[in-house]
Amino acid sequence: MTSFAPVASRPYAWPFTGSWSTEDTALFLIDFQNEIAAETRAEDTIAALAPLLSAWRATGGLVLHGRRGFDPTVGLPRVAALRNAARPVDRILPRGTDGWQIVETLAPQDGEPVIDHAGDNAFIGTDLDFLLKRQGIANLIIAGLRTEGAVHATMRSANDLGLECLLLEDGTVTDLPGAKDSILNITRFGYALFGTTAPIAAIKL
Amino acid sequence: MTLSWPVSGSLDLDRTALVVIDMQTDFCGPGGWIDRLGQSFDNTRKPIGPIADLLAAARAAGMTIIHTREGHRPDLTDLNPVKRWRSRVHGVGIGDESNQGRALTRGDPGHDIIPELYPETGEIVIDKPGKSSFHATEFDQVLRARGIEALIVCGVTSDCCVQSTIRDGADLGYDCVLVVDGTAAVESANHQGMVDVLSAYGGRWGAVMPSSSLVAMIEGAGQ
Repeated sequence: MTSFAPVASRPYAWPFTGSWSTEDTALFLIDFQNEIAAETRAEDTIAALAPLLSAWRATGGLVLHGRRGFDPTVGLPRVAALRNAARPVDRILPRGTDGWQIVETLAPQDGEPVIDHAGDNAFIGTDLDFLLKRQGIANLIIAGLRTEGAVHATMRSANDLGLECLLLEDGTVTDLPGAKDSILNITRFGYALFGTTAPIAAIKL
Repeated sequence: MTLSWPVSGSLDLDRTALVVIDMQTDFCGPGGWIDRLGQSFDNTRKPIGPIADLLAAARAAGMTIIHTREGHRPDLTDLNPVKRWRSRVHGVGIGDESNQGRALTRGDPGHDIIPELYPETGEIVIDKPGKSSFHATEFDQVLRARGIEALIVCGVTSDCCVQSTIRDGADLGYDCVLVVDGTAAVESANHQGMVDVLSAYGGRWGAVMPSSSLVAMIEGAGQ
């Protein structure tokens, strides 16, 4: 086990317990999939995360990958399907399509759990909570696409479950104007309603 | 393309619930938790009028009405350590003595719903320990038991529990509408940011409508 010093994050040094380690903390990369990455022009975000992912893997810490998409033989819930079809962008794709694949730079390696989720909240209808509990994970460092979509929905749910979350400010992006700032502010409001935020460089392994 | 609400095309009062989130003294009353934190509760009282209008219409139409309350068991066994720690550093810890009993603690005065919007007999009250009404509650079972497919969501705060409930509701397949004047946040900027996000692409997780339109729809469907 490797322990680390608290991360310089806002509004407080993370995690609240004062220390974290590869045993109790996971890196969660949410929905870095081809189509979402293209729509949000996430090249810089992806490039900035690559060194962190390598360093994280070198510590032996848990890496999880979110992958949004629906089973084409099942489809989405009726209302969700109608809303999905009405959107010009940020559409949930059928599993197996090119746009649904995780980008090469951040592709999962053997042994890294991939969480296939049909909606935005990666805890709904998945084994994510179960996996985290089984592995004794208390803290999540989160990056992903889009900031106001799956990232925020999942972080809200993680927070309700008692996980101590840190969102990487330059590890998330969106194409919806103004949304990223709003979400970062809401996340930190009221002494971290949903968690803290920090730049990738603040994670020192 | 912007979808109408409900997406089924017409409002079915038997399959629609009015959900009033966390209109508790702790969030929008004098001496409550927000007040004790030194923050203004002017904003969180603004939705009282629109919510009262919706409650009156829903009661007259015989709709399912659900009130939620955020708070914790008196022994705090359902309070996450991080949530308690943040609230204490922030100023008033959840479960600690406040002006209206213990903050956000079930059974104490601050935790209860404000008199203006108090539940009537036959209305359902869901006590929830988290932000999402679906987290660690029987909310989903209640909706299924009643055959509910659409949710009219109002209450406080828009950036917190209202948004979490709409997001999870959408993922679970409910047809949600946010009552834009029936919700508010402590900070106006966060409220506006949340309304902008939820309104994007014609309603990313559901529709966004004013209370007057919804009252008219309920009254129209009940005739």
